[in-house]
Amino acid sequence: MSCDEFREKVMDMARGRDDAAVLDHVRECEECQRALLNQRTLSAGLRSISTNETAAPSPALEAQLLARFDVVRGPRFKIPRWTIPALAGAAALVAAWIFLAPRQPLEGPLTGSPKAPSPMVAVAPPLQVSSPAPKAARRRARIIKATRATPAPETEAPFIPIPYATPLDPSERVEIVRVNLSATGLASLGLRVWGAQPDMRVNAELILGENGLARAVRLVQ
Amino acid sequence: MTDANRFAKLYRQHSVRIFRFALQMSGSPAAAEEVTQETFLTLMDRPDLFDPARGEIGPFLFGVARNLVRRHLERDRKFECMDDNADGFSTNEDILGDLTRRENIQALKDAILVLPPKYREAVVLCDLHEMSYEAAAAVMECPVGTVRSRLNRARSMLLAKLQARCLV
Repeated sequence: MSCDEFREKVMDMARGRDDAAVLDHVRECEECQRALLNQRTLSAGLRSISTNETAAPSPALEAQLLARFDVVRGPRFKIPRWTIPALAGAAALVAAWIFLAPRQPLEGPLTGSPKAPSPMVAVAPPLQVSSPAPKAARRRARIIKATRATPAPETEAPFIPIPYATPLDPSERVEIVRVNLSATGLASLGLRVWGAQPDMRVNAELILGENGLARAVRLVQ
Repeated sequence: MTDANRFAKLYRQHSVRIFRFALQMSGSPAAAEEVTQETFLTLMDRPDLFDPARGEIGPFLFGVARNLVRRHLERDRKFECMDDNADGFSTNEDILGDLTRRENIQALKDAILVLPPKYREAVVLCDLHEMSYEAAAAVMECPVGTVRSRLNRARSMLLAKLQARCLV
């Protein structure tokens, strides 16, 4: 091995990689022997720096980063705790508004005609809530009497948008609440009932928008 | 394990090494703290930058820290760098000191800090952090051969500096 070749390998040798050829060379070459010794001394010094290093980041840094992590990468759609009571309150307000609204004459169209049907609401066929003909009424009464012993499964009509309400936005969150409405309540939602009894009540479901206002209604039989 | 827990675990695994790397490169604890913080903020804000297919998270964090350190060094030139052309392969001096003694370790640390940054990072990564040439090459974004030649050069420059102080 020449001294030039030794120079190529001395660093790896000093960093712990043994090479018999290098060792043979340094036995014969005093200058290269000194160079290897220097390199080994340097390696020992560098190892001392590495092993004696005690520096570390402050504990506060970890706390700061983790606090920021919660802000940056926390759940994006966290539902605030106040949402549920707020929605319940809004639903109660709507129900109160429906029941306490001034009674209006039962005239005009049978169904509401929405200005712009919302994509959230199925396009419903016109809802006919009218007093049946006497013969048909008798037949229906018989049917009801016959089936009273075994309660019929609940059926639901499609939702009908409330005419004067703001159309629902597709991204808007909604809530469905079930209410028991009088004829007046139905009328206030745009459903006119011909010849309804003053004490008639129906079950209905309301879609409430994010602002708590009713947007659509359907009857539940 | 939640994302926050994973991040905390990652921080505890790598923050000390990142901090020490930045400290050994900059000589400033404040800068090291800043670099450590920025490194993990980068991971937090831009997790898409880390591609597991290209390697492990450790070298990635070192790479981020390295870029931040270099930016810091350019902004805040504190140390006068050693002459790049200094001949370090002198063998005329005998071993005069024990480099494991505390005062000599400090002298060696000081000598590392005045190396030009491209040589300094080779010594810090390969010798102080005991990285393989391949891992250091990934961090330094250069070929393995370049890492070897820079390390060789850096060690020669350190020897020259220490011989001037009669430490070796």
